Amino acid sequence: MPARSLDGRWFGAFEIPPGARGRWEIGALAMCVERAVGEWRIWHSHAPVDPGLPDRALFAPDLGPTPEQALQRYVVDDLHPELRLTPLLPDRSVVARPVSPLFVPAGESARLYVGIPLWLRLEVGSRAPYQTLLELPTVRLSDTWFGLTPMVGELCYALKTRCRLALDPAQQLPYRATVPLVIRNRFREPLALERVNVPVRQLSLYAAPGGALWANELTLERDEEGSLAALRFGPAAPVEAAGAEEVARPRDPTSRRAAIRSFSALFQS
Amino acid sequence: MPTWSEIGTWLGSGQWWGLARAVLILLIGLIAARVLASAAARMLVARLDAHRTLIARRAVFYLIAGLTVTTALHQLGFNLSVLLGAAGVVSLAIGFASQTAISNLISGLFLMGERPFGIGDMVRVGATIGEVLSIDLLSVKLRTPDNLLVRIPNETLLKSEVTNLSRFPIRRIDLTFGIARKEDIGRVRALLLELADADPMCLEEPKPLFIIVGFGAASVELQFSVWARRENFLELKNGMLQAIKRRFDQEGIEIPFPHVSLYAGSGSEPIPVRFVPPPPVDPAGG
Repeated sequence: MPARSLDGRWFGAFEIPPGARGRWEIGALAMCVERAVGEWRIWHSHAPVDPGLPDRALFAPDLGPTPEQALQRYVVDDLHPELRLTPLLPDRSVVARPVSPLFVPAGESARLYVGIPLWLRLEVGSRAPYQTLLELPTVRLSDTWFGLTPMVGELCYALKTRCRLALDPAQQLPYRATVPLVIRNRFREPLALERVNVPVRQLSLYAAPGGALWANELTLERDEEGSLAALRFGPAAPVEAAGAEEVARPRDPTSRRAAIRSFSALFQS
Repeated sequence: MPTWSEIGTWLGSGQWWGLARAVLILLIGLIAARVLASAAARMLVARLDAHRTLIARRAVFYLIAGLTVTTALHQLGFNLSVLLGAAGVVSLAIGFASQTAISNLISGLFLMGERPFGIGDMVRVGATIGEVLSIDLLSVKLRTPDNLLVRIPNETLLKSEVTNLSRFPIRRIDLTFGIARKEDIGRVRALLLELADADPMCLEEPKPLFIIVGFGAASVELQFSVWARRENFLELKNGMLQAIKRRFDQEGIEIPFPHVSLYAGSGSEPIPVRFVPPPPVDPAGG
């Protein structure tokens, strides 16, 4: 069995005939899939979140599960041997918090790059629409609450990010999507970027020719009164990912307009 | 038993027509009441919750049924003003007798308007915690976690403190324990924050809270509060306490059990203890 997917990437369609198995290690996720007669067997576990997590999206055919992994069995009639691994953005908004405080002075604008750990969707079936067996995060992010009070708000994932201003290809991990964030501050006071709610459910996922994964560019503008003047989603892949193809549609494409109603819903300081 | 001729006279007099009209009005009225009540319920189900829809449906039915019965009685020739007079006296008597029930009814209406909780919410009333099964006219029924049914009169609910554990999506877990006085409080704080950070169920924000409650008799009393989704409350509480115990054992941090130190005076020497052997037993018994 080949060590990459059928199109040569770490994700995509993998051929796993009955009796065969394979193990993946992607980010903190360790997963083993075995094809038995009439069922798919999946074991998975997550390593604790570690800042020094290696750059890995590995697939080893014929390796089995490790003892700490729990088994889940999926009964599927279709004998088609392909397992599709589709990368996805997380199922909740991600609150990105800069590791060190970041300020955008009055009149300035900044282009930041935030790396969002991806989820994986496992699908089987001979033709679209495929049957989804499971969705797993590559990194188990911590829960967090985003709201002005504990009564009203939204449950999100928390991400500590370096909010890079320059793109470093070496820092682009294969299981992370880079979201370019353009922030324009037209207010007279500097904008303290303590946390940003990135609405990933409204973003598409693109794969650039080199293999890096990207999401739509987000533009946030703070107007002269200090409230949100504009929140714009880039219509296609960002400029840094020229020639990228869309690998996953947004989870909530129709709610883009309703996504953010106030500045304080994105920036909370 | 009326004779055939009496029946014939009655039929011929036209009175049967009044009876037939009354029966017809009753039948049509009750059917119409049923149909209109269902229609009202269907219209309102999108806007109101299940409980209120049921109340509205019953109200429409009884209103139309009441009007129908009144009209039917009028057709039969009853003088309604006499009936109303009698009803007034009867209701006064019933009113005095059923003060508690009426109070519960009115309290129920106020509770419905205020909506401190809904069906499915976990509430705490006094020492009772339970899931709200139904909010009825006179009482609220709860199901306790050990699967018992508790009936609480609406009047009690209106007069006492009710805590709704399901109103908000996130909840704070307060963990209280003491550490030995010799421990470094700063180090303990750093360890606890590390443990909270490592647990994905523990919300990053609102941030965990570390409070030194005070100096106890044998320890330094601490409170460490973490936030979690309401659904994860118990799991995170258990998980955090286990993790704290495990880590404290690893780091050698003591959670002391109550103990008392004895001093003979300031800067005193240890209190001497001398073992006195038991007196020998006299075999002669003298």
